[in-house]
Amino acid sequence: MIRMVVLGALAMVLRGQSNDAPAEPLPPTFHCGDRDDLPMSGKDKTCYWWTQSFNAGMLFGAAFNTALDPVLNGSTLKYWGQGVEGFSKRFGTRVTQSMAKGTGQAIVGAMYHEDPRFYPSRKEKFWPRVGFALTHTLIVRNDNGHPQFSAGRVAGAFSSGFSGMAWTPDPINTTSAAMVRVGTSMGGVVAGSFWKEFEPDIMNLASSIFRKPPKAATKAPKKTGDIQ
Amino acid sequence: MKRLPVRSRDQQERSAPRFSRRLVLLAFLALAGCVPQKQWRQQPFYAVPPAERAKDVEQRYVIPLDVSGKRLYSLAFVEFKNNGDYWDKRQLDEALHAIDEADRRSNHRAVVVTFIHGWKNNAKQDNNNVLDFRRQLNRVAADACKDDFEHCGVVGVYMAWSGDIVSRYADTTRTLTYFDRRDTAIRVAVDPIADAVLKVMKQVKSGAETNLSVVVGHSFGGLVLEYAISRQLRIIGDELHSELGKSATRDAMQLKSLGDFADLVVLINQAAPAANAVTTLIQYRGDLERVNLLRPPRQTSCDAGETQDCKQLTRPLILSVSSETDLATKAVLPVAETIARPPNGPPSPPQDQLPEGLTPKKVLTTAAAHTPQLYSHQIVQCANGDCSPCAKLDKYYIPISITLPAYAPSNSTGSDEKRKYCVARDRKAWNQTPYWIFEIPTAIVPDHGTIFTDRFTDFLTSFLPPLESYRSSRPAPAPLQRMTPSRPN
Repeated sequence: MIRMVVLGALAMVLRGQSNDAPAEPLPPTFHCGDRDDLPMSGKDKTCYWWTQSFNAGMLFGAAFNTALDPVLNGSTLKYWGQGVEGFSKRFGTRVTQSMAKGTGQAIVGAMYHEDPRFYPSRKEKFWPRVGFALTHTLIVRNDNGHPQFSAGRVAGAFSSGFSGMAWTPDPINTTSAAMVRVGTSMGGVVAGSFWKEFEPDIMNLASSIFRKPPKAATKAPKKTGDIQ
Repeated sequence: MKRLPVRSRDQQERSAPRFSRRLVLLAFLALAGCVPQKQWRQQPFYAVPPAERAKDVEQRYVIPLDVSGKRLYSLAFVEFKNNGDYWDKRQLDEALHAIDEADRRSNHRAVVVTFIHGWKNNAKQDNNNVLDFRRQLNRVAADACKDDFEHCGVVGVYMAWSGDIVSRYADTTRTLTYFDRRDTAIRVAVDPIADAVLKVMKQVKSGAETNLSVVVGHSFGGLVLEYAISRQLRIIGDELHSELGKSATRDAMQLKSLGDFADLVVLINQAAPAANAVTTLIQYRGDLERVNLLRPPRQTSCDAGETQDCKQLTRPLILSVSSETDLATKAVLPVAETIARPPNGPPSPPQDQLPEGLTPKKVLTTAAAHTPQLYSHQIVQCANGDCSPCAKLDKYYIPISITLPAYAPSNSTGSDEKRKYCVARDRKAWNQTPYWIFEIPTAIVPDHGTIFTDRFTDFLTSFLPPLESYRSSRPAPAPLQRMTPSRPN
């Protein structure tokens, strides 16, 4: 034990000596998940949970899906009806499920030291990228940057699926219905992983409409590449 | 028709305070998401006697060098209001004072880095741009002032405007401030920020021409900087034209207007269409292509073989670079500029003056560093760390070494990874001027916001003389602003 303490102290001293540049004591960068090259502190993870769980995009998405519910999934129609009251209940359910998903993921993810962010493969070929996006639905980095199974995302999906059981009308409040919601929630995770992987391509494609040169344009100069 | 139940007066009276309470709560929540528009650094430093100075250095206009506190640089803040006015003009005076002091302290080897931040940033004490800028200043200072920190002349000048008006906890709302902040940036860019930028540049060189001056503008800060220097660039261009007209055979020339200018202006992930850059290039390209600015050799005694470190390499005056994965300027900017152009935005030059393949529409919607027709250089990764094949592209290529941190997604090695690149001139390019434009790889700058990192600093310092030449114990570095005739590849 004493030997370990002495060796640890020695390692710290040596590490201190090898660092030429004195580091000014400044507060750590609080990046809320924006900095891919930095791990996330507890504060970053809390901020990330908040901004991912409670944002205008989520509210608009919930409202849009709720509006489509009577057409695509009329199971609650009989019990909650249509109109403002029915819409409110369905909308509340969607929002709560979304919050439960984010919160479940954040709590379990924190227990397992997960970095909750998706990250792109930086691969070039299409199918390897698809494979990466699929596998990284359930693989995250841990706080040391190593990949690991994401218990947080699974917990988030189950939280989302089963949270609705507290108020769903009895006749349709079944485990199988909850499992369907778990599946839907996991579908959202898969979509998130694909979006992260293909976001640059989709965004570039969308913006190319606005910056497309005329057909007569000559070829652009060479771009960044490897010299072999 | 079903009648709505009529609420009693009593019910109405009871619900009124409840409604107003909700309204107050909503207003509170909305306000909680606002970032105050205020001057963040409020206490003078030089203007008051030492005993009366604010104890909290973070409140001061100037954060001084403090070697015992491991702060090897001094940092001055100059803040601007939404209408472009100074919050307090004394901030600029103190910034100029800090530059003078660094010049004296370092025996004319001051290294002054001016930074204009972009969208979603300000001069707040815990702002990430502020903290990251300070970390990089300390790193630069540790290199430039090794073994003599007491005489370190590294100064940062942080030029701030209200780039952030909504808290990061309300990120969607924050993103909706794009057009508002862009128009504010344009308004701020005119006067007096242009005046402040040029005064800082001039002050650095008024101490001695050996002092080094670098000015960096990021995102909308790049837009501000480009506007701010445009008038001075026209003066430099006109003087160059006149000098070249007098004699074409001189070995080197020094322009008076360039003598007061920065040694390097950097536009990183600039959130502005290429119109200003294209206009400048069209106007002065013919003259600018006839001259070079040189970076002195990194090694003075070279016995065997001529490596890049032994050569005088061509260097940029303006470096406009964007990350290839900066979606904000690559993908979002063209859409945003198409939807709503700024009211006082620059016009595009006519089609017949543009390089082949470029249209006025593209000039008005796409950032220069994402417009291949304007590229002057290309950056190439050296396979297995060997950059010698780059000499085939350009004999005077600039070698770059960076360390990709283990945690970066582009790094698959699991530990810090050394990478080498070379920046080679494209001899067939339309742009052969000291206004260098190209896209940079994700490994150097991964996205729009991540700029002040060790790897980006390593990238930037590759275009400058070695930082150790700014140590007070070394012979004074050579002045950088002499122009030489352009040389063949």
